[in-house]
Amino acid sequence: MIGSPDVVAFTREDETGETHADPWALPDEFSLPLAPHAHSNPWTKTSYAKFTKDFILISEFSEQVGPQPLLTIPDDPKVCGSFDLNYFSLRIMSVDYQASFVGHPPGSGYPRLSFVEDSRVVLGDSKEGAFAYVHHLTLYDLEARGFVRPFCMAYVSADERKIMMQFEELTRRFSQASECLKTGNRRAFAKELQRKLQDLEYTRLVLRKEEGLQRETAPQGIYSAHAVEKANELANVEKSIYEHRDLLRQISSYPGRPRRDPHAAPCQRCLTECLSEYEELLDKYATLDDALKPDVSGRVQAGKGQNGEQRGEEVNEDESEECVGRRPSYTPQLIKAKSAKCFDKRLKTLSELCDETFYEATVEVLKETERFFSGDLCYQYSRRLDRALRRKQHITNFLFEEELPNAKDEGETARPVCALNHAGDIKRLMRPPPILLCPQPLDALKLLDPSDPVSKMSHSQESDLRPGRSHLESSPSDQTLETQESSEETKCSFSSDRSVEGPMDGEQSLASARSEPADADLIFGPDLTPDQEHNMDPERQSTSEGTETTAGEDEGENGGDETPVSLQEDHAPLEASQGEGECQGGGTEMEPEMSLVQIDTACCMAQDSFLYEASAADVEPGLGLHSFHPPIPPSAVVNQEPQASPPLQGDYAVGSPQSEALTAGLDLPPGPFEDPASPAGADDGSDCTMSASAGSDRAVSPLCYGGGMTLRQRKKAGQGALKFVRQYPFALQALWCLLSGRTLVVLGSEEGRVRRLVSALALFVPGPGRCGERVQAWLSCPFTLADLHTWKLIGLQRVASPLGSCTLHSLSRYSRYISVLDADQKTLRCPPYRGTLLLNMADHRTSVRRGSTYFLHVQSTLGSLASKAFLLAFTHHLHLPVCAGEGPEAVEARRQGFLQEQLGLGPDDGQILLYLSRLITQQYLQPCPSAAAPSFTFNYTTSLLYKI
Amino acid sequence: MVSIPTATWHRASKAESAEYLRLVAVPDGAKKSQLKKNSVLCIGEEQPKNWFTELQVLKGHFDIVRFLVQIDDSRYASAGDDGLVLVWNIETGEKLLEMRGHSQQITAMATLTRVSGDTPHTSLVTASSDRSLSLWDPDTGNRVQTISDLQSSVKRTSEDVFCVPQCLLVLERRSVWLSGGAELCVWNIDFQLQCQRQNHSDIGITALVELPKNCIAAAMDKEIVIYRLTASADRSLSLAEVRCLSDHQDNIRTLIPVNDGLFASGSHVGELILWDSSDWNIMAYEHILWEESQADTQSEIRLGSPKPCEMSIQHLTTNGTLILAAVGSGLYVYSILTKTVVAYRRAAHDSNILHTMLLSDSELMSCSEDGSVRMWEMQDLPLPAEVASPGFFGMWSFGRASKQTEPPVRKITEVPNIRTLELTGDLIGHSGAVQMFLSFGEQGLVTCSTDHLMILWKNGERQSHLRSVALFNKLEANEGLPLVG
Amino acid sequence: MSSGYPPQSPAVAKTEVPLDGECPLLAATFAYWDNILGPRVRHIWAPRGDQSLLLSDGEITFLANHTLNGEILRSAECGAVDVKFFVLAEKGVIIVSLIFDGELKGDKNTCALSIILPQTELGFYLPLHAICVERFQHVIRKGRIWMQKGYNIISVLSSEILPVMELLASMKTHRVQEDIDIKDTVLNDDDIGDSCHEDFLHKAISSHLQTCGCSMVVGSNPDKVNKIVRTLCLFLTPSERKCSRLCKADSSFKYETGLFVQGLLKDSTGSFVLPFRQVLYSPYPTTHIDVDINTVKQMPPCHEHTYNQRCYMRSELSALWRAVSEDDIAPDTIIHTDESFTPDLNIFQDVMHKDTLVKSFIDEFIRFPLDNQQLHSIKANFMAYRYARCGRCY
Repeated sequence: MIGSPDVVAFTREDETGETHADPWALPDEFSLPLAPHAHSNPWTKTSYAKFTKDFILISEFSEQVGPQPLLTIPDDPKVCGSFDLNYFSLRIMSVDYQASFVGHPPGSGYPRLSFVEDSRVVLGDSKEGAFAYVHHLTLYDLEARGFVRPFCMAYVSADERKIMMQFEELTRRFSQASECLKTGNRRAFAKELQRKLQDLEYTRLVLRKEEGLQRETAPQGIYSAHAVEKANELANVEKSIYEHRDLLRQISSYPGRPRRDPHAAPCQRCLTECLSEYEELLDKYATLDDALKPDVSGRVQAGKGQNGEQRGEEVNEDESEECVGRRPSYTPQLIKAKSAKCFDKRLKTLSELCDETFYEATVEVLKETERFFSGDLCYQYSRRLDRALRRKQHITNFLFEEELPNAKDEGETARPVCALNHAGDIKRLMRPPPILLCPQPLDALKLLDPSDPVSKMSHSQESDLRPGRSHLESSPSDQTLETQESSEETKCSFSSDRSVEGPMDGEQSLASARSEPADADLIFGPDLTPDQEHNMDPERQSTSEGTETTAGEDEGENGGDETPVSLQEDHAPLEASQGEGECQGGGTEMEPEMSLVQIDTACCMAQDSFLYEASAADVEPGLGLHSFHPPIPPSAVVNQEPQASPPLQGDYAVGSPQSEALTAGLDLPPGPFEDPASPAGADDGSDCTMSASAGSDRAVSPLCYGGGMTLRQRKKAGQGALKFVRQYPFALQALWCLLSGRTLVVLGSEEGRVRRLVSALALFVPGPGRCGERVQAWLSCPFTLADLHTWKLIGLQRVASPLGSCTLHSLSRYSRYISVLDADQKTLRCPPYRGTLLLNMADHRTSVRRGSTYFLHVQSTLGSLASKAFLLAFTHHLHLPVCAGEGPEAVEARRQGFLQEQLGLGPDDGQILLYLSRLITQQYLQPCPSAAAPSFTFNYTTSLLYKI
Repeated sequence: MVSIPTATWHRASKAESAEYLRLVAVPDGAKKSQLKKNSVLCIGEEQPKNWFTELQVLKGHFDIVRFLVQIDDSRYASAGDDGLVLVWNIETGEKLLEMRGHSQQITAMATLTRVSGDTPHTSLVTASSDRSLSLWDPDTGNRVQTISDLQSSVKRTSEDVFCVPQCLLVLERRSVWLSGGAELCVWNIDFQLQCQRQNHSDIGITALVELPKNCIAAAMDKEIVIYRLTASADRSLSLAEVRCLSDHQDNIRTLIPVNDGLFASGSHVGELILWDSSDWNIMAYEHILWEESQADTQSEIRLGSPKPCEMSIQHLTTNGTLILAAVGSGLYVYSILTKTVVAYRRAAHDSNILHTMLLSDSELMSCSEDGSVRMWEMQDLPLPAEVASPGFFGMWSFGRASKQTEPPVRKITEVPNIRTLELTGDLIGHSGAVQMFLSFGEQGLVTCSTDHLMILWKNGERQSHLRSVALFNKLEANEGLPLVG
Repeated sequence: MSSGYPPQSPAVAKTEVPLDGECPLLAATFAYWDNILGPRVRHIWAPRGDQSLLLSDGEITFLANHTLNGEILRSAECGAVDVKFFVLAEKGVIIVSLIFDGELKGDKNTCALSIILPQTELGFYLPLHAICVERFQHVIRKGRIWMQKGYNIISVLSSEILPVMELLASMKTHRVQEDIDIKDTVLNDDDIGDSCHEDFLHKAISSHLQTCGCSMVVGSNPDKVNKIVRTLCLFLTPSERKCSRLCKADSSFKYETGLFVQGLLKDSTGSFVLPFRQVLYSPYPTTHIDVDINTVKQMPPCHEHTYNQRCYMRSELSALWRAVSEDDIAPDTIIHTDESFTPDLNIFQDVMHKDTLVKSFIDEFIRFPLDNQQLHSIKANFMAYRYARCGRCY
């Protein structure tokens, strides 16, 4: 069932046995290997492919050179490696059957555009180890043979199953991209037609004038050969006008035509916009028949300057279409130039064929698609299943699960319906601000920018950061590097680009998906972004030589560009979303330093050895994962030495080695308890090898618990929690407080430590809210009673000042509602817990070593708690009397019986379930915040003081 | 239906409250420790009898919330120094209405119920320092009537503060209501002034009580004045001063009706007098004294207060057989039958008690400037409650002439049947003085405070049950859960 | 069951396949690339029936030829069977083609075995794609040997094409629905501990999960069989459910290799013949559940299963290779002639070990029936998912 494809890989056998030559033995080519993937690394099915990761290839069947690759996404030569794109383009373009030329169908007077539906093919080259989903589409080009330019977009992967198992999603995304491209192309085509029509109208005007002149000068009734020629030319031009007008009519029927393809994904708004635009054009050229109006003539004059003659090649109607433009056009002096150009004429590029906006939107969609599908199939598939399953449990998901984006759609990310973000931009804007779960890299941020909103928000005092700062300043090299890194971060660097440059398939992180718009400029920046008009200029200029017009080019541009007003407007949302993306990118780059609870010799944590090993492994560069990283700065190596061992480098070894190395020593000012000899660290580094197939998510998203927390971040949270559990023997009580709904206040004078504790504990806050709004990582003013409603976990600053005593006052005043974990004294004041349920989750001597393992363990325990709570909440007879005479006592007794006998929970454990079920009930009753203030429940119990 | 006690609230001095608020907000170590030392009682966190296990913080006011008035079974109104009148739903804690109109603090609030046809309709009457009286419809939030710029008919040299109505009394049977302040005015239900009377005191009327035979008792300074309301043939009303009772030695702080035959008054120096409602004779005189220790911990709070207020009777409540007196920070239960104090707790709170309530014959509740609400139970105990530091109080049989300055003192031990007041629970939540509270029985309790907040205290069990009922109702309505969210 | 119908044109032989019910398949074709003439269609299989959506031979030929377009460029290991999958919206069809090398008349040719479906069946077909491809791949392996020996490949291909057609037709009518009503499972209130023994259910579910969600449910009572089928399907993903089949009440289906859960009815004598080879060819090991006698048996774990399967396939191919004449062996009788590989015929073993995961699921589930039927169903879904997820986590 689930995940089993992996298991198959185990079946590889080293020795196949019989080697004796048997004449009757089955030749290899007719047999099958005993194990699938017999000669490859079972873990990487794709190892024999010549490219390093999946990519998207856009190819065209050029009428001049045949199949040729145009573009790959990501646009990085490293991705394709030695893979022969030319050959592969040939292969994938050769299957296209459409070959639907326009030309003149028999019996029809005019050339006809056929609106061909896209075709989709999955094929492979088993020798190359390359498989592809290929999406064929045709674009129109007035200059092309039969007006048709065949293109294809291919998703190239080494894993065939991956393509087939996600065929529908691939279809959807590529159809969307294709529709976008086509819509843009139809617009551009209409625009081209419009220009052409203007040229023709002008030509006709000129010819008529000439003809009239001839007629006047010639004797009555006698036509010179020249006059006859002129008349013929005129007739040709007129016919051409009719043809082009008909083409215009045809193209304007494009949006409204019936679709044969049930999987096509047109955007209604794009189509409507197109339609209205076409109608406008049609209206204009239907009436622009005989007499050229004076105002129009001026514009035609101008238009003629650039492209009048060059586009006249279609004037001939009786010529065979194999080489258009051979016949003389209405500007006789250009005949020769034309025919010479026939084969080396420059075909329009893909971006010229489409409207710029649409082209970029398409590329954007494809980039997102590439990101969406990158990664191992098993991982992707399990993740998708996981989401599907969780969607079924939406009633309890809010408790412990990460938030599912937009549950309705199968699409994993909040995807715009249209590539132009016609429906999608709202979702992007709604992304809530980031919050914790992992501590913020406050030191770095604040050093750079004291007015940083994050630091302001946290009410922290500058003085708290002194130790960190001084530490930083003491090491100048660090500082520069730090500054460099941080300034890069604050500048909204193009994070997602970094995330795609990795060699293996990156984990599909929401974060990178979200920040995608930012890198549009990076990849296609300088060469492709310039204005379409501008791009076309050289061409138009070059072909306009010899024209006798006097009109300036600028006017010509105006004439040519007056078509779609709405096109300009379309830039706006795109830009907006880009800006949005950049901001998010900036937020994204605030890589949490994930510095976790420091190791403390005073504490009874005994098994340090595993940590040591792990940290050594962490910084080892050869783990494959690191191979694409820039060389690790020497400080990382230094970190291994006892003197300099910063506690937490391991934790972000995977995420971002640079920042790891740079901030490792900074973010935790050496505390009095810190043992310099214990190289703390995280075992998360070893996770990275495991998840290598799952890829990396280097573009770290903001630490939204629900919003966009990636798996890795959750693993890190698990690491923090594990350390907490191992370090503090009273973790059990602390967890119980959180799970039973008692607000836990983490009190400490050191912000970093408090934040780390809070982020470690945040994992256990039931229903933390979509953005973890029930957790307050760092608070430096006294809290009020109302705050206890909203925050279930508070990091509180301990200050020695009048304000501080006020804080203490509120602590003691509300002591019955809260538990206090003193990070400085290492004490916990809370009611005693006598249950057993949490023992296995908060086992002080747990043998779990890895954060991710522990995370899964916790997740599973919490999940089963949620399921029990669901039962409790929705089991009718546990809350309401079953018969008329029954009093509340009987119901209560039944509920207690359920908890104690059937679930086997003591009173303390029962309290957890009661709290969870209350949350479920409340969530079900009011999924949206109502007008009433929230209420919170408590009980009157005595607290005890726990010490290490 | 009118809740009469609420109509007779006198205004606490704002200066005092503000002072206290400041103290609470910035408690430096010294003050805090002193408060702590003084605190005799600490119940701890184990409170099995306290069923208020759920709370809801209601925000809406911008200043001290002083008055809470029940409108019907599910609604109540709150008013305070911000001049706002807010209507709340007790079940959900939702703010239903926000009624703005008064520009200054509200000095009194009462409900006014009139029966038109079969359905009684309850309105709210408010009096404010802006010298206006308003009638509100708590269903729509409209200000139905308003009388502003009340002018005293007698020119006074000093400021016009006396024109501010300080208390309200609704006489349901007669469909009139009275406002007391510098003058006593009688209004009909349509806000028409029926008659008014100037009073001769400097203080003004601070409390009003309805007495039988169309009489009204008004507390003014140290005196209680009895007025009689008479209707002439043309249905016009007139007020006549019938008697002036001047047996109190100090300002009368509180005046309440006890039962059909009695009413009670309490003074600033701890005199509790029971009066006969009909002939206005003293039925009992109780002088509750404080230990004459001058090391008064409260004095710093009451800066500028000339008299020690620890013996001041802040508040009286009764259920007809018992009178609960809040004296300074102590509680005294006085039995009307035996005419003795049957139970007391001298230091029930850390600070002055502002409001009390008798929940039953044995359970009572009090709230105080110390920011807490405490619940008490009268228990029969073989031993007196406070042997170590016996309180002093004097007892007289009724007699009008006894105005000794040095009343004889008897020890409690001499009093038979003394019971003890045991603390059964406390509600901690407010960060300022708890001004008053309003109980909706099992639905919960509302407290209002100088910290601008109200807190709705509820029974967690009951609420949980209600939510479950709602859950299953919604399930029924939705025909099950949608499987995919 | 097949053939006997003269081809419609001399060029293309055609087999019309009579099928019960609607077959989503439009046609299957065998085509090859003639080095002189280009793509040629050799044989067409088409379901016979009154279906409206039938292609003409010309259309079939056009499409089949199309599958070989571009294969002149094919570069593959000798013996590889490549898959091409077309969705041709313009024609409204899906084509699945398996491309392979084969010896025809002494020439090495590129051949294609294709099936054509209407595009509207895309959603129906996709979950079954892997099954179809795997089965065709193996029959092509056999066919290539046959071609090598100069025999007619068509009969070999027919031996799998017809069953696949039957499979698709049966899936059209008896596929397990994506959404399962708890009322139709043994998790229904009335059944737990009553008609369905708790211990049996426990063993069935846990073995089902252990064999990758692949199970066959055998019994005499179709309702009972289907209840178990649906129950087990609760633990599958939607696409896996689409790859599962209920049993047919009146006449039994044959066992189909590759389905996740299938219900099978015993014959009138109360016996059921286990098609050993086909069970072994299933991609995953299978749990065998007999609802009449409440037994649960299980095949060896996945890795062992794959190894056995491959060994068996190789020996089957070897046997074919050694066959002397075309009549020597019919494709289905190969096993007995093979000496080099003797599979352990006792592949189904009792489930010995007990797990706690499923046990606690059943415990929680059974002990707390909810009053409301709908809630009950929610609960079941909820919990089944929960546990399926847990099962994966660990």
